[in-house]
Amino acid sequence: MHKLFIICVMLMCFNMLHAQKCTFSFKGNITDFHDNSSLAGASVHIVNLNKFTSSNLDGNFEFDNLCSGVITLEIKHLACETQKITFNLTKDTFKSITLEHHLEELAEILVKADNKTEATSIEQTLSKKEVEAYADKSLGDALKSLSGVSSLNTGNSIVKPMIHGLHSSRLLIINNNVRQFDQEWGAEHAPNIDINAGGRIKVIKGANTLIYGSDAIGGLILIRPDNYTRKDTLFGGTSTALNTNGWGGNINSEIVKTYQSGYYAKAQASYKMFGDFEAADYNLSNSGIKSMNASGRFGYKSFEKGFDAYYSYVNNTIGIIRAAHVGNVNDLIRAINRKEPSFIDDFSYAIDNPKQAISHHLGKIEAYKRFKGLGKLTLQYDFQVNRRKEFDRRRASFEDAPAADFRLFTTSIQPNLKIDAVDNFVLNTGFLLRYQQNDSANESVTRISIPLIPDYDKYEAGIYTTGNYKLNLNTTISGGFRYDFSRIEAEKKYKVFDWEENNYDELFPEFSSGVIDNFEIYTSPKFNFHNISASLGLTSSFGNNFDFLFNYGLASRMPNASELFSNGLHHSAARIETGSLLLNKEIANKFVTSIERNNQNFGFSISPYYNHIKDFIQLIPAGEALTTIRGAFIEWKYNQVDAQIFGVDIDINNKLSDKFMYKGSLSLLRGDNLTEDTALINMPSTNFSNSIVYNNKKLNQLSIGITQYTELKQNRFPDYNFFTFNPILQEDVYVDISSAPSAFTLFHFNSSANFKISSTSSLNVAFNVENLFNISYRNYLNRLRYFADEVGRNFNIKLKFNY
Amino acid sequence: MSNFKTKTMKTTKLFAILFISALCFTACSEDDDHDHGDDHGDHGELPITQVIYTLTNKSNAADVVTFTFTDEDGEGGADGTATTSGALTANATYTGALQLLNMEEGDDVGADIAAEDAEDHEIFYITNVAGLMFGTTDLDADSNPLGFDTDVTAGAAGTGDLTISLVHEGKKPNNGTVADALSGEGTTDIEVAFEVTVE
Repeated sequence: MHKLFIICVMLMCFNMLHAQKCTFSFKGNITDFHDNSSLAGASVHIVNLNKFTSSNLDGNFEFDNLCSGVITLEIKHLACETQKITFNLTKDTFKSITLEHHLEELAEILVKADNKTEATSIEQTLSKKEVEAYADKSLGDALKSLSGVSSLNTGNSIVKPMIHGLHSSRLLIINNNVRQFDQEWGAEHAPNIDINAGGRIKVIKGANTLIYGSDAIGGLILIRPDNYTRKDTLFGGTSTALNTNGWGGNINSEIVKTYQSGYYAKAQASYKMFGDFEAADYNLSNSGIKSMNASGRFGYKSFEKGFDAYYSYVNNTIGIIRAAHVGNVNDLIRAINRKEPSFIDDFSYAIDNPKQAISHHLGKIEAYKRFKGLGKLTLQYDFQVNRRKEFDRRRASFEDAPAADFRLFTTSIQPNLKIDAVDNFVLNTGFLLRYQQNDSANESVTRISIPLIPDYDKYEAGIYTTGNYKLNLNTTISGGFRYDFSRIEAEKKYKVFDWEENNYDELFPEFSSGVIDNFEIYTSPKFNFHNISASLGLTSSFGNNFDFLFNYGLASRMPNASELFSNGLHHSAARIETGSLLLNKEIANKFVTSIERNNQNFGFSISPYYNHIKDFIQLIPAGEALTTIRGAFIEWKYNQVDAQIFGVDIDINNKLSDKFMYKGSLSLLRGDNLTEDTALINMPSTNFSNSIVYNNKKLNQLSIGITQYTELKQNRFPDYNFFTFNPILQEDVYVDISSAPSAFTLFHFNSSANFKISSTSSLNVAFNVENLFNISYRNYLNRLRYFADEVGRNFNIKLKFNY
Repeated sequence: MSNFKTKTMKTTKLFAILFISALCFTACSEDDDHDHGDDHGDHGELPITQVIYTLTNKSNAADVVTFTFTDEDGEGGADGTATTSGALTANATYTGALQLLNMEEGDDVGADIAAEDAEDHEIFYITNVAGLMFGTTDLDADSNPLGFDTDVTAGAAGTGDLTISLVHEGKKPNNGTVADALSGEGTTDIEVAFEVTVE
């Protein structure tokens, strides 16, 4: 206001000084940006002269008797973005002005709390505030708080999100609009994402967002950046979390500068460090984590055009409990049979072998321009470099050399055209070109002479079209189609024995180079895949905040590099994992419906789903143990079966009184191996949670809550247990690698309050207790469940300072 | 007062910028190149592909029995095979010597272990043949048994198994059993079984 006033005064002075003649006319016509229709009733205001008029039915307006000089025009129309135009009036003038009145378009450039990814998508959102509660945890931990989302863990720091029982390559993680590629195939490879770098996070429980890919058999995870208002300001926040379990925490800082002109910039960095975590009864030796992350972003946005550049760096060093390294099956049996890990040491911050050291770079630049009467054209280029080193326990002189070392480079370019000129209809179409290269360090560095994942080049091209049509005020339907071509060219050595045992010499003679060196044959497998995917969606709103949603998705996924080629030893479970060149693509048909009531006082969502997956690729124990010089190992092989997964996710929120709020959720899931008529391996069991929160807005926004979380025992698991000969005991022993641990119930306590420090800054203090009663338990979906309990009680203090 | 507040505010923002840039610089400079082994110079850890346990009769140098386990293509691939060259003579005493080899490079991995890392290793000999006894004669630098060199006493005739187990980072000293050696953080690096006959 001040500035405006000063400008006005200055302009007036200017005008008076020059005493121009005042006979000019200024005419204009206002149209809609989308379809060029005339906009009537727009208010037109010459700010510096304080003259008003409004447009007539044809969109025309006129000012007479204007003096020469600068004109600052402000045009307003109901549900439109206000436009400001400044120009120098020197003669009679006519101007065409376009306004944008599509609310959903505006939402992209204005700041709106939450808008759906697509009108018909069945999704759940974690707001930035909810995400911040997990600032010192991982992405998987945060997502697990949503119904239908579980996680596949390796220890407690490697957390892979799982949607409706599916994980790894079956979930698309879209990080700042870039599909994350960080060797996501491995069950012990967690996404390398700093949870503090993004804004809100969405989980889409269907395959309906075809823009991002055709292989979202399980669903999508979207990490959305913050959206900034266009004003001149500098703000930021610094937060820290301190924990008694692991005696560590994190510190995160971000600072944002925005300009009225539309430019913005953000810098963020975080550091996390934990020592050994503690189970209820003992120390989890070598379970610490160190994580260093930084991200930067700058861009420009206006209605018509803009760009966004983003770069992030993540560096994680994650310890894996020392007791989880076993030499062979007999070591594994000993570990399963003992109640405690075989190795328990005093607390330490040191991260020893086995451990993972991973760095991930992600960069992207995106630019868009809107065209009158057509829509918005977006072009995005991105690249990622993921470097993963895994260190194993080995002879002292080799401890510093990684046992596995991979570098994955991915780059893609993706233009998208959004056509929204027609009322009630939005069409998105575009294509994708992607190149990926994996580079595995050779045998002289790593121990295994054949890398687990071979060197490969992968080429992808995709084309898609999706459409949303608003049938009427309450009903929207959507549909989409996508085609993807992928080609993978690998350079891989096989053991001659394996090559011949699998009949590859007869099935794929064209892959063989014929060169055999010391029991190893050089091959170059090449595969092409054609993937087709499609989607249908419907959303209908009824009175009283009731919504009905239906999604159908056809998704197909080519086998990943691990499923095709993997070949090697995992010491954490005494297993040798073997891929197969014979694998076909997976084809999934998923149906999800949701009945929702979005209401503060009483709301709920009931969302049943059914997913049929043809040629579902699973990794299962192949039966007998393999004999090696180290003793017996279990061979796990990838094979394909027809599978179905179905279940229901239920969420309820109920305002009990002015200050008390209840929230509950329940996830039921069943996974069947239809081919072998048995249960699917590694499916989440029934789980439910209830929480009650006391809120007092007047008393520093005090919030106190208690949450109960229960996971029942998974009784439906396939039995791959077997007997093996133990040469030390001189007898056959039973290897129980399949059974699930018992049910458990945890209680958590949360509290937080907000304190105002000055007009622009505030301090948020939170105190939490996780696993309040220090329950000792194991989790079926933890790969280290054979070796140790999950973490015990933790006291946590979080401070967040906003400025 | 308000002036003071603005100042602290600016300072905090400045600190935030400093913290972020400091982390960025340390983070980015840490990324090393993809080392393809060249800078490591020699080989990485060579896998053991052959175990040879040679027993020589103390009073008859021509009476030699060898137990050989060979898995030439390493872990995975073809299964390893165990062979025993012949029978031990009843009531004789033997000197035992264990070799752990990498056949591809002709490298004596066992010798490297004995020379560089003996304190972290121990070899155990387990048999179910009555009267057949194995005694370790070599010691590591901490004067704990190592197990590459053994004294073997054969008793009465009998048939059974001999298991050789190499425990890495096990409990040392221990009560002489594999179970005790593995009761801590130890893991099995070698576990091979042979048929053994005393006649």
